[in-house]
This record gives sequence, structure tokens and C-alpha cells, in this order.
Amino acid sequence: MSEAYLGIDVGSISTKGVVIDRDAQVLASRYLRTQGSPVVAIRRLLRELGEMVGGETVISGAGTTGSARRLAGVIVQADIVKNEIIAHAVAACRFHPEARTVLEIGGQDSKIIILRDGIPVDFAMNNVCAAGTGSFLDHQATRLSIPIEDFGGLALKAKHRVNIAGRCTVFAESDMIHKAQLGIATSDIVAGLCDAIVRNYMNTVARGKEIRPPVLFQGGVAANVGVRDAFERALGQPVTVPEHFLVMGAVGAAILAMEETEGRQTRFDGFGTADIEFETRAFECDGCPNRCEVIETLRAGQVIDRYGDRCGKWSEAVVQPVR
Amino acid sequence: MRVGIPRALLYYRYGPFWERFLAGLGVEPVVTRRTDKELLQLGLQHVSSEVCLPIKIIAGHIADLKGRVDAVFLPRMVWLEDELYACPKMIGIVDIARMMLGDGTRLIAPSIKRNFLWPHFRAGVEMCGSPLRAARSLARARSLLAGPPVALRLEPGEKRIALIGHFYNIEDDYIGQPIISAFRKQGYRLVTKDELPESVLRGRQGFAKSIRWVFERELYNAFRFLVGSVDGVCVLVSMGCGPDSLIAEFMKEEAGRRGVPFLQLVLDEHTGTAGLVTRIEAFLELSQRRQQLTRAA
Repeated sequence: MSEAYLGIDVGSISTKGVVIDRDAQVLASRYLRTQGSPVVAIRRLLRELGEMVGGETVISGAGTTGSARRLAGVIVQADIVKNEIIAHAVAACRFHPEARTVLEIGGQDSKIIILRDGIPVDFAMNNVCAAGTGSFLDHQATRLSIPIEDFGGLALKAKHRVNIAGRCTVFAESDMIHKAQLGIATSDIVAGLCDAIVRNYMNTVARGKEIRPPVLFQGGVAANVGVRDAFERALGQPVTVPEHFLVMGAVGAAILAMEETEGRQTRFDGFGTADIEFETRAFECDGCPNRCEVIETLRAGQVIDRYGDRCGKWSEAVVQPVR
Repeated sequence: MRVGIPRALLYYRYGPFWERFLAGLGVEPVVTRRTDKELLQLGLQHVSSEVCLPIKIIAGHIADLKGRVDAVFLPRMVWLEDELYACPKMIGIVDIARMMLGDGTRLIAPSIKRNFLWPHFRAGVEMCGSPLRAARSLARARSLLAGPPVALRLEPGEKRIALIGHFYNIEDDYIGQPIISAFRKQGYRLVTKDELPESVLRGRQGFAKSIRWVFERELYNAFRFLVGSVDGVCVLVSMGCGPDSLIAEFMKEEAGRRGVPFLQLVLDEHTGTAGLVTRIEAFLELSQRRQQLTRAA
């Protein structure tokens, strides 16, 4: 029987989960599409991870991160719920202690983390716009009828990279159509899109940050060799994609859970949680003109969590509060 | 006569003074409610999407007054001292208000240029018809201009963040509250420029002298005064605010030079509370980890 730790990262586009051992070696990892239903994705993730690690592995700690970290934390009874900046930074430092810059691009989020001597010292996240993220690439790939998996490879074949406006998906799309109609090769356009992503990232997320080597590139978009290549061109230095780039946030959450449960019992409910009925529902509170949208999570018909109210009237009324 | 005062922008500095002044004239001051989502939505319908959040908010308050008061009282703050101006949008909001209110609701908008009381006096006469009454009311309300005495008290050992932002952003419940509570939840004490004496805020030493926007000069002076004695600096910037974005860069650079953790939060109507809280949490945690590790080393 070996000790292991569970980390779950629920983002807008994808849901990631890992089980690691005490040395932070990844024993099992899964990457699923959230498909608008985090509850379904989390349960599926638990079931699949449970099957992968088998009965001998005991989970001694569980952590959650990502934009739905709170919901995930409530469902699995996590020991720690942590924001994705810290989770990514912790995982990056663990595997690449020498790294000084972490570029992370996910489905709708992008961030930069500045590390010095293995300590995260600064960060930035994209604001409202998802133009320079995975969804943007996904959308444009669909538009060009290229499977997203082939996208990066195609970009590497470019002979004359074209300039495409990457500020906004709408402009990029019309620009792209225009370039295609001029007869420019698809590979050149695809490379141009990769450049546009990088340019957008450098001008918004990384603006004003000092990017020092070694540079790590993680998150879903790191799978795209075209974007990695575009980063290397823009930065004029090599960019390393860590082995578990896709699930680094989840790995970080698991490491944090390991730290958190040092010397005490986990609250994690076991992989059997996958079989319990969970439901989320939203209602608009009419207590004041703010009309907050309150989200409720129900476990087997019982309300276990509420959030979204500015005043705390609903969230504080839940009997079993989340730490 | 019922005279409306929007609870936004300069209200957060002059509100009590205005209310007493108007009441002393024999008119009934009607102050709008605290900003909420409904008022913000109302504001968004009336102004260009390019303007900053506080302007969108005040537009909502003005729209809310339309039709339910006889007049709206909205002084136009142009400048306070020589070469020390309010921002163009704050000056321009009066014209936006005039367009919004149309002919149905009067707009009483004394222009404040260096002399603060005289334009108020004239507006008072306009409202009550009696110079004597206006002068008396002004004299009685005047004591409220000074505000409560300030004294910055820093307790040893407390975790402290300097929250540098305009009073009309910080004090507006809708904008400021989620930010303030996110810091407090993590056990931090927030220091704002409200705790600093006027002599500090109005200082003209060094770079402050070349800042010609009255409120930005205050922010910068507050930053300079506090940066050495806090665990981090959080600057609130309204999206689309030129002066803010410029001054914030200088503060960021200086904080970086001194090794003080620095977080810039950009506010607009799309900013979800969740995103702000994530940033604040991550910021505080990064600063803590950094401190722990430097202490260990």
C-alpha cells in the first residue's frame, strides 16, 4: 500500500487530474474536456483515476485548483483549494527548479509567472479577453478545417510567415480569410496565427515583465509545437515544455495537498465520490438590486455549498462550510 | 424643491458638505442609493463604452435621478490650484449629465476653478433665491469640508497592504467592497490615503511636482509615503483611465526597485469578482512565500 496524493484542476475548457507519489512522480493522469459541465467532468475524472491507480493506492491528501476549484473542492472534500497561479508555480519549481519564467496558456486563461531562485515573485493573468488562448486557436483551426493536433506541425512547415492581427478573434478571422483569398499557403497562415497568439500574449499578459531564461511553457497550448516555435522566435531563446505540461496545475494542487496534510488525516472522500449524485443549480437572489446569481451545490439532494452572493446571506447559511 | 445628488465620484469627498449645504438652503437633497448592479447597468446604457468605470457608474446615478427630482446638483471640478487639474472625464461628466437629463430636470453645476466656496454660493443663490440664506448655509456646512482628523497608526507585527486607488473607487461598495474583503479575509490590514494628512498628499517634492492631476498627485504621494512600511502595494486602476495608467507605471517601477510586492488591478464592468479574488489571493501568497524563503535564507 503506497501513499499518494490527488490533484484536480478544473478549467473552463478542460478538467485535469493527477495522482502523484511522495516524490511528486506522476502515477496517473487524465485530461478531459469540461464541456460546460464541471460536475460531470469531475466525477468522470475521479472514476477514471480510481481505476488507473487501483485499490492498493491510498489517497492521503487531495487538492483542487483552476477556475472551478471551489466546486471541485466541495465535491471531493479537498484538503486544500488553491488558485491556479500558485499551483502552476509550485509544480514548475518542483520539476524545473532552475526555471525563471513560466508561460502558461490554457483554454481561456493565460498567465505568466516570474520565478527567482525557485520562488514565485510576480505574475500576471489575461483580463477579460480570451483572444490569445487555446479557444482562439481551436476556433481558427475549425475555421481552416485543420485538426487542432496537426495545427502546430503545419506551422513549422511555413515558408513565409504572414502577419495576422491577433488582438481580437473577430479581426483575426477576417484577416485570415483575406490572406487565404490572396492565395497564401495554409501553412503560412497557420504560422501567422501562432505568431499572433505570441504577440498578443507578449503585449497583454507579459507586458512589462522581464522574461529571463530558462523559460518553461505549460498549459494545453504548449502541446502546439507551432506556438512553442513562435515563442522561441519572439524571445530569441529556447523554450522548454515540461513533461507533464498538460496537467501541471493538477500536479501543483497535489503537491500542495501533500504539504497541507503533513501530520494529519485527509478529508478526501475516496474515489467512490464518483458514484454520488451531485447537482448544481443557480438562482437569482431578489434581496437587493444587485440581484446576485447564487450557485448551489447539492450532494445527494442536500445543499453543501453556496456562493456568488456579494453579501454572504446565502453562502454563510450553509451548515457545512468549506474552508 | 427636490435636488438630487449622485452618490458617486466627488460625492465620496464632498457628500456630507453638499447635503448640509443644500438642506440649509431649504431644498430637499435626494442622494441616490449605494451603487449596485442595476445602477451600473443603467449607466452603461448612457455612456460610451470607452469611458472609465466610475464615469459609467455616475451616469447610472444621474439616470436614476432623472424625472424624480426637480434638479441635479453636480459641481464641475476643473482645477483646485494653479496647474492642478481634475481629469477631463470628471470635468466632462457635467456635459454628459446635461444631455442625459434633457429639459425636464434642471442641472445645477457650479464650475470650481481655484475658488471652491464662491461657485457654491452662486449655486446656492440660484436654488433658494436669497444671498443671505446661501451665505449662512455655506458657512454652517463649511466645517464638514475638513473631514475627521487623520492619524496613521501602524501596529507592530500586523500584515499591511497599501491600497492605492481613488476614493471614489475604494469607497464605492460595488467596486471596492469585494477587493477590500478579499484582503481582510487573508488577515491583512489595508492602509489607504484616507489615513494620511493633507500635508503628505499635497506634497510637491520630486516627481509629484510634475503630476498635474490633483487626485493622481495624492495617490503618488500616498504611495511614496507608505511604500517603505507595508508588505505590499495594490494599485486600483480604472480601465480607460489615462492618468491612472501613467502614474501606476511609475509606482510599479519604484516598488520593483525597492523589492516591494506590487499588484495592479484593472477595474471595468466586465471584471468578475472571481478574477479579482484569484489575483489578490495569488499576490498575497506569493509575497508570503517570498518572505518566508528570504527569512529562511
